[in-house]
Amino acid sequence: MTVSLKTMGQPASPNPGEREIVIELTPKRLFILILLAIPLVLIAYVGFELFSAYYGPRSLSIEFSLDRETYRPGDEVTVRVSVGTGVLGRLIRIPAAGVAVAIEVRNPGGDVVYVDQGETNAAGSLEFRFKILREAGAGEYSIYLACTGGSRSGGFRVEP
Amino acid sequence: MFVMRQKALPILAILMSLALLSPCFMASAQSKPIVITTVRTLDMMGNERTSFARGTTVVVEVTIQSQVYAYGPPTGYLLIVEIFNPQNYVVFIGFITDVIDPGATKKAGSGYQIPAGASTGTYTVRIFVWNGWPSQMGPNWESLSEPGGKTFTVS
Repeated sequence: MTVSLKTMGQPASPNPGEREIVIELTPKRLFILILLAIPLVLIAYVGFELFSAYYGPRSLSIEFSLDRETYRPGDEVTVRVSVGTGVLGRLIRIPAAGVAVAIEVRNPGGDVVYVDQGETNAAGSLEFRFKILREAGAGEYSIYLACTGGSRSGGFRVEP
Repeated sequence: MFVMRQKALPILAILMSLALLSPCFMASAQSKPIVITTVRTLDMMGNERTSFARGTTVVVEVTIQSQVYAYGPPTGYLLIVEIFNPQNYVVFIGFITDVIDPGATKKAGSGYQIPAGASTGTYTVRIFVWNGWPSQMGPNWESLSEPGGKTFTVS
């Protein structure tokens, strides 16, 4: 079967100097077009994702790590935070610079014991440091990190 | 049938470029909706002081102003006052939740009684204005102003 979208035989244009591109669609050409379109769509998607990652509106991912797994009262806790945008899942990660990030730490009783706000550097990272009170109770402490477009929570243990 | 005139290509490219760059212009126009205008430390009589004795109460007074100069709904906010002692331990966290009308100014106070056995030296106050707690807001969390700060001494 031939699907023909063009039957005219003359490519004449009313304006001299202009050309008309005419594509006559057949099943074979349609198949080739689809084959060509798949990588083009993929490239466009990755390009769009990369552009969104740089210029937003963004969906950001927050990763964080602690300097230790357990602490004792009086210890200093260092929270290293990394903010970025994932393209194609986590295949490509672009650091998000200049992003305001908030941290909230709650003790095992649910009371807020520390809050802070910082801004990511050019590498999309920042660091929070705080001290656990000497009279702080033992147990699981919760950490909540948030920025506009992303959040992450976790915790650490304080041992007596 | 696809008929594409060659003159249309540059125009299409320019339009696409403008559409792609528009988020940059929109992003640069954004600013914080609230500004912390003053942070003062007062005694219980309302007198401004920067030095306090142990056992007394320091009142942290924060004045904020809405930067939204248009008719619209009031902005809800969470204002947090955090005090660090000279050893950098958090000794106090106070907070209020309220709303502020466009263009309005508001004052909020938070009192901290300095324990009799508290460390002497310079204490640091930090002020945050957020749209809510990170634990509750998640990815919808937003900083509504640049953080504020103040120091006072305890003797």
